[in-house]
Amino acid sequence: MEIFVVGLVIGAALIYLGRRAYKKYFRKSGDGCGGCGTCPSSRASQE
Amino acid sequence: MNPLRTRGPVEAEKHSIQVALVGNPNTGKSTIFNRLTGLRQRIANYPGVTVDRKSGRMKVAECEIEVVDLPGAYSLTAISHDERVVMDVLGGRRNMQRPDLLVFVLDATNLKRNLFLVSQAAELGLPTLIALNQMDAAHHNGIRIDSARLSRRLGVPVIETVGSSGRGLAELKGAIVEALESPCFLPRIAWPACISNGCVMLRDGICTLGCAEISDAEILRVLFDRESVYTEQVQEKTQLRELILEVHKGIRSSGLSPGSAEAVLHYRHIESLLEGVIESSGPIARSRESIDRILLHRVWGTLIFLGVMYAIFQSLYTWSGPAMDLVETGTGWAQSVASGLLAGAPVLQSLVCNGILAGVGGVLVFLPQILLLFFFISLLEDSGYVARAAFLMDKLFSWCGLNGKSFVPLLSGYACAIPGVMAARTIEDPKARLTTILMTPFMSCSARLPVYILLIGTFVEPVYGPYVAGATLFVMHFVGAAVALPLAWVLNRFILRIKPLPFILEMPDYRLPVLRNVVHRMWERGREFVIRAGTVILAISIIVWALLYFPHQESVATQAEAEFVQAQSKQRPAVEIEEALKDPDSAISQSLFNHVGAAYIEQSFLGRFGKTVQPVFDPAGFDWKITVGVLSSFPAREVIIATMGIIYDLGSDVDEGSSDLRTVLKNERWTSGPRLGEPVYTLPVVFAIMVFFALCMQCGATVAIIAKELNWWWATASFVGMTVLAWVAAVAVFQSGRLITTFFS
Repeated sequence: MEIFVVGLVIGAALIYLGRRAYKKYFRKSGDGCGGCGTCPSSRASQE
Repeated sequence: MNPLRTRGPVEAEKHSIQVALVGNPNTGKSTIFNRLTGLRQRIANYPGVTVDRKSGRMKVAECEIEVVDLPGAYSLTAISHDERVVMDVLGGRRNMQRPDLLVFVLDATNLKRNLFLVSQAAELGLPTLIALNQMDAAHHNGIRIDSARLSRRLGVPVIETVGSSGRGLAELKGAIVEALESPCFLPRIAWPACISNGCVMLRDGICTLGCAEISDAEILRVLFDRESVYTEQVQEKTQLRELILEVHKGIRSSGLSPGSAEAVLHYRHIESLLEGVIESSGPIARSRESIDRILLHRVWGTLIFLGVMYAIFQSLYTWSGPAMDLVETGTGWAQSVASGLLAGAPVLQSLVCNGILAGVGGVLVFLPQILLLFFFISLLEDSGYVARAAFLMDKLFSWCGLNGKSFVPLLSGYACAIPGVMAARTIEDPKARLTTILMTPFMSCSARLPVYILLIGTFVEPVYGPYVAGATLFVMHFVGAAVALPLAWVLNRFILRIKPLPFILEMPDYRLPVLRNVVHRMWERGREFVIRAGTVILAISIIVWALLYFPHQESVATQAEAEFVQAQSKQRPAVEIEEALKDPDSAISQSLFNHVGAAYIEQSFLGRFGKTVQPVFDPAGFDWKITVGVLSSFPAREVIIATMGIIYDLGSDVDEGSSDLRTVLKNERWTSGPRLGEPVYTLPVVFAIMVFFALCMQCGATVAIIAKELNWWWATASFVGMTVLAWVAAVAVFQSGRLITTFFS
């Protein structure tokens, strides 16, 4: 059970980082920068 | 045409009603945009803050309107990247929707010059409304404007506004709806026959050559611009070039110069419009001039600039101590609570305490400094000092081929490289823009601050005191710039060969910083930092923990225990060791615990990898743990703090909560190799780490934005170049530091 929970957390972290990298490097966004949501300008473009 | 009535729901979905905010730079467009849409677009008191099209929604009287905030432009001549964005939107080029209404945001303190763009834009034939902004500043400067008369002369509504306080915004919203229902158009300038006939000739010529349809406004750009988005398109058409020269000949024969005819005729038109509209009582802004005389002085201005910067970094260092202690205590408390709750599940306990809390908590400690830094940056931006600093820096930059326009992107880079890289769009010269983009990641962004604070606070302050520590922090913030400028010179001198351009920058009025803006910017950056800690850094912390925890074979512990007991038995009798190990709180038990922890990390996946790569960083004095920290921080610099927290926390007693990272770093020693037993973190190593972080491109988001603004080739070159440079500099610092310390000891 414990290992299952830990595995789940690690899997979620990997999926999150993978999705973020995909969005940042490969997906074209609208105006503004890459739309990673990190800096104010990219968040504004997402809003 | 009434866009509010003519569009049905289906059409409205495809083509929303769009209002564009247009005007010169730094007239308050983004402030009005924020007020109209409720969004929080970045604003500051210097030109060139908005460099891209930003849109938001405004709801007025049951209808939803898309408001577009455009970068500032002095004219329709689109040379720089941000000016091209304006022309693309206004001309409906590159699949952009043409706005249904133009709202010109004009600076009431400088109306004549602001009206030049309005006069030019009349040729676009778009419905127009004017917001006469900064009326409070105009009154303060003794300027009286008869806005009703101006409205009658222009034939469009003129609304007086004060964006910062929101005065006149309700009227502006009402006027927008009214202007969409019954559009008003600006009167076009009456061109002399030589120009109007020339335009007809050009239109015919363009049609004959089979070019795409071109508007009246675009024909004027082809005719008058020496260099713009339109002239680039006609450069290849020799016949068209000849036609333009022929029209220019006609203009000359009428006693006008083709280079200045447009400006002369527009200003004549503006003067006739403003007759009896503006009254000015007395000299304007005498106090501003006297302040400028000091702040822009070659010697005093530079000294004041350096003094301001030094004071900021000193206070960053000295003021944030109590708040940092509070966060540290909170993290320690959370670790001890979580440790108690998860006592029966050692793997989960380690994940939560040593992975998540040590990683994220270690980064969050630096939130007070981030907030303070952005408090000072906001004060400088809002007061109008940034433009003065840019003017001063023009001299500093000109020798290496950059100009003062590079200063704003480079200064933005001190907060974050991403808006800095984007701010380079205001630079007209593509080569100067390229150099500025490549140099921006060298500026010491706020993500480097935690690394400096941790190392300076641990190794410099205790020995040399807080003033030297503050001075070190100040110097570290200029290491990147000190390397970037000579590098820009090399790039310009031998590769790009940029011709220096004249530097023109509008000096904004001095303003008292608005508390709302300052607090908002601090909140924005603080939120961003916390979001990063709770998302990217949290995820990376979990992965780093897993790589440092597994495979966690029991044989490692057995072997480490045997080694430990064997080593101890050389110092004391076996019975004494056995007795001491029975008590879990004894010093020997604690040492054994840490020894086993360290053995587990060394045998972990990341530990083995770090040991394999460590020889590459050995010349810079990095051990395998620092190497792991450096490698894990390539996606984002701050991750090194989280990684260090995890590495050193895993090797210490989990049940006792978080060990103070600073104390652990001080006590860290080499466990093998020629430096066995020596401290890992000597001053040369500490400075080598800081220099490496100052110069290395450890930010995935910056690489991505460089690729977007330039291309992947330059992004890769920048990444590889900065990483190699950082390594060379770190090795040089460590080796020379070691020589110096050996010489003096």
